[in-house]
Order: sequence, then C-alpha cells, then structure tokens
Amino acid sequence: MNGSISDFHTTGPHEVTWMSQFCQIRDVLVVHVDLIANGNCEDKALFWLDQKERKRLNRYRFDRPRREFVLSRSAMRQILCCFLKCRNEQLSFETNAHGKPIPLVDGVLANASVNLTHSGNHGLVGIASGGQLGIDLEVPVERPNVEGIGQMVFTDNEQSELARASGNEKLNLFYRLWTLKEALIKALGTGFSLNPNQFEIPQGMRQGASRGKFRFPHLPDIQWELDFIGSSDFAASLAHSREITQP
Amino acid sequence: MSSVEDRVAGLANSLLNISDRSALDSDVGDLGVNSVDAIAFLKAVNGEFGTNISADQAAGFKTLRALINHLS
Repeated sequence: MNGSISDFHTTGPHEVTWMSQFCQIRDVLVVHVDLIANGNCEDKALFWLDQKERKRLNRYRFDRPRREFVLSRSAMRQILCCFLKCRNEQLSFETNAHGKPIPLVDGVLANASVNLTHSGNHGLVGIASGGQLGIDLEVPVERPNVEGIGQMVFTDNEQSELARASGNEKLNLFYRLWTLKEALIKALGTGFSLNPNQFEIPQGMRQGASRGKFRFPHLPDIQWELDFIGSSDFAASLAHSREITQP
Repeated sequence: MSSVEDRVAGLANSLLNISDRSALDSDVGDLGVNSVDAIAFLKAVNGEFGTNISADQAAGFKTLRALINHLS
C-alpha cells in the first residue's frame, strides 16, 4: 500500500475542524491538532477509533490525556486514510516493543511512517512514505531546575551550553535540545530505553540551526534528517530517515 | 520516618499532580504524564532517595509501584 503527500493534499481532511496542515519538510507532512477541550470535536473524533483504541481510551485515568488521545489518534487515522487511500475500517496498528504505533492496511504493513506528539493544547502528526519518523512537541513551561533535568538526558557539551545560557535563552535551548532528542528516540522506536545522554545533537542545531544531519553512535551507517519546527507557541522537532533500522 | 510509598506518592502529588493512591498501580502510560515532567520526577526521586536511577532504567518501570518496589 503506497501513499504520498500529493494524495493527502487532494483528499485532505479539510472538513475536520481540529486539524490543519502545519508544514511540509521535504517529503514529510506535518499536521497540527488542536487539543482545546471541545465536546463536538471529541464526539466526532471518537467515531474514528476502533474497539481496541476505545478500550485504551477508557484506561486513561484523567480527562486531559483522554482528550489528547481521542483527538490526536483520530487525526492520525484520518491523515493515514487520506495518505494511503484506504477506509478507516481497513486501518489497524501494531506496536513495537516500546509502544510505537506501526500502521497496517488490511493487516499488511503500510508504506507509511507516522508519529504523533502532544503537549498542552497542541498536537502534531508527522507522516511520510516509508522510512522511520519521530516527532516531538513541548509547550515551554518555566521550570526552576532545567539544568538538573538536563543532567539526566543531555551530554556534557549540551549541559555546559545550557549552563552558560540565561533567561529565555536557557529555557529555549532546553526545549530545543529536548524535542530534538525525543524526536530521535521516537523515530528510532526505542523511547527512553535509549538514554538521550548517549548521543549528542549536532553543534549547529544546538546553536540555532533549524536543520541538520545526525547519526547515532551505535548506528553509524544510518543518517537522519533533523529539523527544528517550533513556533511561537511551542518547541517541536522532527527526525526522519528513509532507512529502516532495528532499535 | 515516612514509608517509601508515602515519599514517592508525595513527589507524584507535587510534581505530577497525581494525588490518587490507586494511580500508583496504573500503567504509567495511562496517567498521561508528560516526558519532561517524568524526568523531572525521576530527578526528584533520585534526590529524595540518594539513588542514581537513569532515564533508560526508569523506562523499565511500568508503574509507580514498580519504582517503589525498586526503592524499598
């Protein structure tokens, strides 16, 4: 089952009120998901979920993550249906060992890599043909101890640069590094079972470049495209490789 | 001296806004905890208990109860 971004543009979910195209980076389409509480949207969104996802939804203990799940998961389904030209009921997901969703159409692996992220009132869904894709979004929150948190997940160089920054610059650098690293571990499919302090964000991107190339130290043959796609409302990053790796 | 469970529950309440003790046995994924908050919580746990649990080690704890058992 093949899909393409042009398919999405011609049959995109224009009628759906909680999604809008955010950007296109090379062959990756990124769609914004509005997560502001809205009963009408949530009712419409629920319609898209299959039985397994509804069970998953009911396991959430709090309203906010429940809303995030129903709106972003249904958005991902609608985008995949447009992208793969399939019906919702043909679509299902398997997950890798760390919970990353992998789309199937009629039970067959789809030629699409998809990933979603959410924070605060914002979600993003990234989709591309094949390869591996990771996306992360964080709405910046003032924190008293970003350097302390950084000690858990940043390399020595990254920690030193964070320590030298001050004020808004410190907070912005923290969330830039965070989203770049989380996009990478999501793309690879490991989640935090690969400690983000085991790899370093390219220097240019640490210093503000919006685009870079990256290789994990333990997977030197695979090159990843890295993009910082943050806006005035949130920090966000995208990692994509055309190749498939085993985490 | 508070129990390990009380101390972890106290940190979960103050840092993750999780006050319900039954949530200690829920899958962490069902709590909707943001990743930055999760690492900030882990940092605080290490500070409280004098441990050095890393992010990748913590990824293996599927519930807060598993973390409590590790610390006990």
